[in-house]
Amino acid sequence: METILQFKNLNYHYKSNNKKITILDNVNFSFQAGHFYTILGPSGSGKTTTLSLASGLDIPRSGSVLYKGTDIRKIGLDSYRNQHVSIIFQSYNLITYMTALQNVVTAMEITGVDVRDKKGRALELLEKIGLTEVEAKRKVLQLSGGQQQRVAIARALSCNVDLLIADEPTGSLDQVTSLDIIELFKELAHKENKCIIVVTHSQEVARQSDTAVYLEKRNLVIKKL
Amino acid sequence: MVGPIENVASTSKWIIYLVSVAGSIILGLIIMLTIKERRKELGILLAIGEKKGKLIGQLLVEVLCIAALAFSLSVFTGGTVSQAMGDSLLQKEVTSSEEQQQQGADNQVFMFGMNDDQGQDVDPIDNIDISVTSQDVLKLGGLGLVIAILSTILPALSILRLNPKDILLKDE
Repeated sequence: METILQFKNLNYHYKSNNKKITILDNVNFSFQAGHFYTILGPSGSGKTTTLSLASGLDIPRSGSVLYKGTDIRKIGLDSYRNQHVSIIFQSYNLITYMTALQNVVTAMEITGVDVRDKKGRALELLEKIGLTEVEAKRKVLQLSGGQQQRVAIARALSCNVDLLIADEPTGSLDQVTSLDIIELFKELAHKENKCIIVVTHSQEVARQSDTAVYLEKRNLVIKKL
Repeated sequence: MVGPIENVASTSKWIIYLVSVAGSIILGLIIMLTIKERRKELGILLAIGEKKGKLIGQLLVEVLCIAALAFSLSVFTGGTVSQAMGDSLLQKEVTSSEEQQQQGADNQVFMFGMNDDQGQDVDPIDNIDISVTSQDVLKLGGLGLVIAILSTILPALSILRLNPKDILLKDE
């Protein structure tokens, strides 16, 4: 199996009240294609930091994040986020003055997806994740939380990347919708060979993943559930 | 008597300088406010992978579109407005000049017993025809373009300091 993402001697800390707070301490971990990972840990353990480093939103204090063997800083963080990784945020982070369809099409235009009929492709994706054409043409603020999360997932899928990182994607959803989304992630990993990394605090979501990784003592540890 | 005309010309020049400087500052402040209001949107676009240079370019295009509309409007209304303003300024200068002359003449009559009519052998220029030529349009258009670009680029450079992680995760 291909290693998509690798943390190599990764360290991250920040200063608070002149004290050095270490979040990640010499972490070495690899994420494979075709695999669905969950990262768990208590609040403040560094889940969001790990997500930020993996998605190129932040840079480590030392060590490297490698995408298919290349340091993402060499690729360029902007280019890395543009071409190789899609992020699904807990609070969706959709552009609120646009419709669901426009949010997805905009992402495709920014990432330069090579599709002639972007609108058609976006509608296809939105339908795949459970939104009708009528709902797709509504402004995102007119959609429910679950629907907005689906739009955020469709936006991430539209970019055609190998690596999808999601921060508590089911945090504000009901159980039925959550299960649907987890099934979708499993399908993306197993049928489309994507690497899915979901940061969550839900044991239920973790049980559904191929590998549950815990943030313990400032390191990533695989645990069997 | 060209005094009033020269005064109008001088006033006009100062108005242009003032409007250029004040306009640049105001436009720059508006752009800064716009960036502040659109921080989240900019953060989302950066997180998706949009380049910072493109975001600055987008802002510039938005401002230039508005500038183009404003400029087109001013081409049609500029002649009328400048004629009205020119007439008003000139009238004020002429009135002020006549009052000064009258005061001077009264003083002379008082001191030397001279006739009122003496000294007033030149008619004041009391109207001007203002026309906006294509050269004027090009000059002012160019000036407006430079103001729009500088007032946009300088505050927009703050986008380069934006960190999408700080914008998005802080908001969460």
